[in-house]
Amino acid sequence: MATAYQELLDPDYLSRIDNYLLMAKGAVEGFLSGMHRSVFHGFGTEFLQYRNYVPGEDLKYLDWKVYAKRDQLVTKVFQEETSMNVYFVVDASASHDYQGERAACSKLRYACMIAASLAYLASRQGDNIALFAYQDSIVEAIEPGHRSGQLLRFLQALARLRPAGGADHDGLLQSITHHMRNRGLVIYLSDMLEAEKSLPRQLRALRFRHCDCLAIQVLDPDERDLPHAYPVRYVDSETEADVTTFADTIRTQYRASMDAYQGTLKSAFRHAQVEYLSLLTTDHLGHALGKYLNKREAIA
Amino acid sequence: MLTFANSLFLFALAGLAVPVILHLINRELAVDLKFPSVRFIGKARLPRREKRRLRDLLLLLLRLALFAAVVLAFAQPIWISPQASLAEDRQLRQTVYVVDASSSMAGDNAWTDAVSAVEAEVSGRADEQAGLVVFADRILVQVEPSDLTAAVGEGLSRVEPTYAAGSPALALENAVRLFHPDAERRLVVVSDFQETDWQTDLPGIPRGVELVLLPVSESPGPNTGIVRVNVLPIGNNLARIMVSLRNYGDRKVETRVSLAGPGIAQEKTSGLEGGQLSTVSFEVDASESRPMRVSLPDDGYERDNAWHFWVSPPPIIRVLAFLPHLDEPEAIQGFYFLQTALEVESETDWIRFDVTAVDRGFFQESMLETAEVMVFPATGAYFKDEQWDYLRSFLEEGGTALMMPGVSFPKFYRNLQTRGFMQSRFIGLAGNTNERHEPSHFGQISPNSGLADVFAREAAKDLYLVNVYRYVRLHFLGEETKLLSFENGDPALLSLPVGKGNLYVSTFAFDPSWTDLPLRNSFLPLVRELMEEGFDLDRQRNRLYVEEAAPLLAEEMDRPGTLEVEEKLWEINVNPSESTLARVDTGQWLPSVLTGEPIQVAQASVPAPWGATGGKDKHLWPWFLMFALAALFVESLWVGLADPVKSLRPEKVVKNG
Repeated sequence: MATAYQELLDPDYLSRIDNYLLMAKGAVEGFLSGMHRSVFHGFGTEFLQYRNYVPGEDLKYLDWKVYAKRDQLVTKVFQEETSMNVYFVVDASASHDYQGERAACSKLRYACMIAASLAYLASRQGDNIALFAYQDSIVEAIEPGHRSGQLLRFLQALARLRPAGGADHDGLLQSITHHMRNRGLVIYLSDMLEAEKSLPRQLRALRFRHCDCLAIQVLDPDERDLPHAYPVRYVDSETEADVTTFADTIRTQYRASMDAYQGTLKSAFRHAQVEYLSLLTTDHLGHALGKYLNKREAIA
Repeated sequence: MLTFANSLFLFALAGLAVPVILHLINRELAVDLKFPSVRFIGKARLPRREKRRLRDLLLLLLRLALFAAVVLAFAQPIWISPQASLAEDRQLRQTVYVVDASSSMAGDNAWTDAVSAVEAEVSGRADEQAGLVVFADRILVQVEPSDLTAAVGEGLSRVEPTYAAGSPALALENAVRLFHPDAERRLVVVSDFQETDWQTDLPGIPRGVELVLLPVSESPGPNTGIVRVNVLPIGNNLARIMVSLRNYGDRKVETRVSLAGPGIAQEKTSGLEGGQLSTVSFEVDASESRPMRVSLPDDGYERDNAWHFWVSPPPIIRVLAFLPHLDEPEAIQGFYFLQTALEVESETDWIRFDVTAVDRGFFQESMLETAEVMVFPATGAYFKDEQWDYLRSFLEEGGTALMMPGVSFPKFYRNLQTRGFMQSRFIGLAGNTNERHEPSHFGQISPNSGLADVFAREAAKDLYLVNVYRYVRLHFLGEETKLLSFENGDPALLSLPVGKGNLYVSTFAFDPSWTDLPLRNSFLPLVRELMEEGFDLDRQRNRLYVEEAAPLLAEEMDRPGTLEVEEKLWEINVNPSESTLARVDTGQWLPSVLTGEPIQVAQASVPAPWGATGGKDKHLWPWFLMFALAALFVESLWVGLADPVKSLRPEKVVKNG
């Protein structure tokens, strides 16, 4: 039922669920049930369960004894032995409060939904999850762990977030670097506005801490095409700078600038060897979940 | 020529200035919007506004036209053709004569005086249009104002004073509506302005209508009239005829009262002080039914000088008793006591009852027409829903019913309460049949009931000695009349008025196991008085006033007299309400009342819309209304569809952050 799980990942649907745990569970389970085969159990050394063999899988995991006894091909599934730290870094600056008419939720809410879903997935796989939310300074910090209640604390912290102030990307990344002692994965969620030069460089530095990074940019559709058909005085959410203009006349130029900016950002991340994903708040969460799983599998 | 029926509405056109002013001061302002980043948003000149201006201007004009069309539609524009306009240049003058033809106008030459006064007025105003309204209790003649003034005289010649009272309010309202709104209006009221007719709620005459009151019979002569005649049996085939007289004047009069009938002629003289009521009695042979007439000598108002009546017993009152099952012998025994008491005949009491016992299964709607009284000894508990409805309609039409408890008394009293006949609530049973138990006694008779007259002083002794061994206790809520109550205040006999009729409810059965009342002397007068009290004897005797509604006798009712139709005896007399000589003050009081609240002149007095009045005047408001609706439609389309920018614009300032 592809349609059903697509709907479950629709932000318009998910944003109506206030409880992040329910939301994340719904999104993740919906996403996984939509996959044709579940290959995301770990292949460590601790035996977890059997499952039917799917053509294409590595033959080294086939249980030959079972084949000999029952003439049935089954694969052994193992519990990951070495859990990994997954750091979620969420930008909660004032610019994330924006919600255009086409979007079902604000940018921050969308970023939190992604963080919640990925954290749920990571927690389900036995990884340690950590959260750092920041504005001008860090506003929420949860150290990595997978004790019982870790996910709940994580989600409660997300629920407490309110967009305000500016975004001090450099300060944040410098201050959290010393928390990253073990190998891990950093999920960075931000609109990355006005940071296309510094941010890829900063995230690259995480690699020296044995941390891989997935940078997810969250934008509102309005930021892509400036759809307003009436004169508007645009006031910058963070700096309060204002520009009075008529979007119809500058739309082409604006789009070109945005494309150039995103091109620059993409290129910079590629050079920094940081995975980059740009999402609009109208995109369904499957993009982020799929990207994360690919990344996680690659690291494993 | 264009004219307006409601020209005051044109002031509302000043409101057109409001949107124009708003349009002039309204400038296109940018909406504030908190945005994540203004880094790539360049400044730009606001769009050239010539196109918008032109569009807005057209929209403004459309809205102004819409508003103006609505205002003009309310102002009711009328297009008057040039010919009609020329004709109206000559000032139209109209006089409507309102003439009283109530019964009192038949006395003291009042009607002749009124006709002469109107004719004199009409002939003296030959250049005016004249209309006429003649009234009594209804409109008798109505002539619309026209140049044919002879129509007024002709209308007056067609009528003469009726026997009914006058209703001037209706006539005044009709007369005012006859005027043309643009005419110079004059209303002339010709009447004796008798107090009983004119001291009622009168409508106000609109401003601009000249009111002229022409009183006739201002100083009426003395009047003595017959108010009522009662016939009572006194035994030995004799009847006493009681004639009630009233002197309506303020001086003492000596009057001769004459009684005449087949083979009988008697006369008596009576002296009456001014304003006093007196009774004169005659004794006549009553061995057979005969019509008779009492009369007085002629005076100012002759109609109340005679009274027609029958010397005969009233018709037998038919009583139907619906009995419960035979397994309730107490109820059946109670019925027999009741039947015996009602069917007793007496020389001094003409009222006779014919009691018939019927099985309760025959209590159908068709039975209601055959009886005047219904008795339900313990039957009410078994009624079906429709039978309660039959009982209600029977009572509402003026019937009388008596109900008593039986075996299923709790259900019976609860039914009475839930079906809205009785407010009092059933509590339980008081007393029992044990002889050691102290019996209850009656304590009080309602002083306002006929029972209080029957059981006055010594006559009440026996009633107060009656033993009641058990009775149904009711929580009395005071909504009903407690005709008879026990010493402790509990109701014994309740009177429940339903429509024109009465339902009597006893809290004990007329049976020796409940009470010894049926064995006592008080039982007969109690039961008979109860039955007679809830009864309109005038209705039973078919006594009517002239012109009162009586379907079977429509034509014969026009004159006073006695009639015998299908073995029914009818007495038709003149209503004494028109006999009074009192007049209202036409100098100050009446004009002040009539010029108070104006009558709302109905739209019917102006020509109908769509030029349906022969093509002279054309009402234009429907066209303006249609134009307004079309403009509203175009405006909605324009704003909703042709102006996407407008539709995208947020209603209020959007603030994110």
